[in-house]
Amino acid sequence: MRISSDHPTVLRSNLGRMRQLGAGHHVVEHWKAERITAIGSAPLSIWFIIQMLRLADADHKAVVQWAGKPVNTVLLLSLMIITFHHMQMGLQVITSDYSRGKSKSILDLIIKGGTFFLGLLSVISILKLALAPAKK
Amino acid sequence: MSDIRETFYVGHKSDGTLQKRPMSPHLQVYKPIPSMSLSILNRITGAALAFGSTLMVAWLASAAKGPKSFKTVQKVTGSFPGQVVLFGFSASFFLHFIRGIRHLMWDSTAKRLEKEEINKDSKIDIVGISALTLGLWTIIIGKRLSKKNK
Repeated sequence: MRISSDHPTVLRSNLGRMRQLGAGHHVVEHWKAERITAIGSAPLSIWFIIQMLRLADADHKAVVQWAGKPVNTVLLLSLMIITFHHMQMGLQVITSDYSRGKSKSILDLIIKGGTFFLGLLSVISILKLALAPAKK
Repeated sequence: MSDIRETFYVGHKSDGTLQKRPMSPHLQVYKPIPSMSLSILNRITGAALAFGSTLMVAWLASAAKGPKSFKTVQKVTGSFPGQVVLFGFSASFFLHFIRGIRHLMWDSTAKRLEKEEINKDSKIDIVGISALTLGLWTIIIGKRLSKKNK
């Protein structure tokens, strides 16, 4: 279908677009990613709960041994990465419902920074635990 | 005026003076029903789980740091307030988990979306959430009691 050049394809004023009103055009991706990370984290979380039941009163040595098994390391890493990705998106949905403008941008940055920092901390902790566990 | 939507709230009185028109009724006006309560709780538990996940990170980071800090974290999680928080964490998780699966079912099949069906399924979900939470803690307390008896 050809659209003549003088026909407006976007029924939104430039001022409105500049003010960032209306859809941001990545809503579907956000929605999809939220569901996909939910599908991923659901079985991993159940696995983690079962592992926690087994490790309930375990000492440090047993935890190191458990985290050092390659399958456990990979599952732990996947769980934490997917969880923090899901968390970032979920919290962002909440902020976009209850705040707007500058405060929303600031809140989103805090959420992105916080989840990134905590996610990275857990990844490094898992890697350290698995590859170079502390003895003392 | 900070929000463009506020233009729609401006009305006129019969004498011509401007007046802010009322907004549509919000949460507190409606009688809570299972689907609505669970929907709200799904969001609240989502935020609560974000807090709970920091506990998971603390557990992992302390284990990575060494036996000493790991013992400290174990002391905190093993204390009574720690156990209460963990109970809340697990209950929040099961609610978010069950309702998440319900959302995935709605999204993938577009079925069971009638008002009666939604409320019926919500009641089933409440039973499932309670069963999973209580089941988990029955196992935890059972394990602890059997250890004490040894």
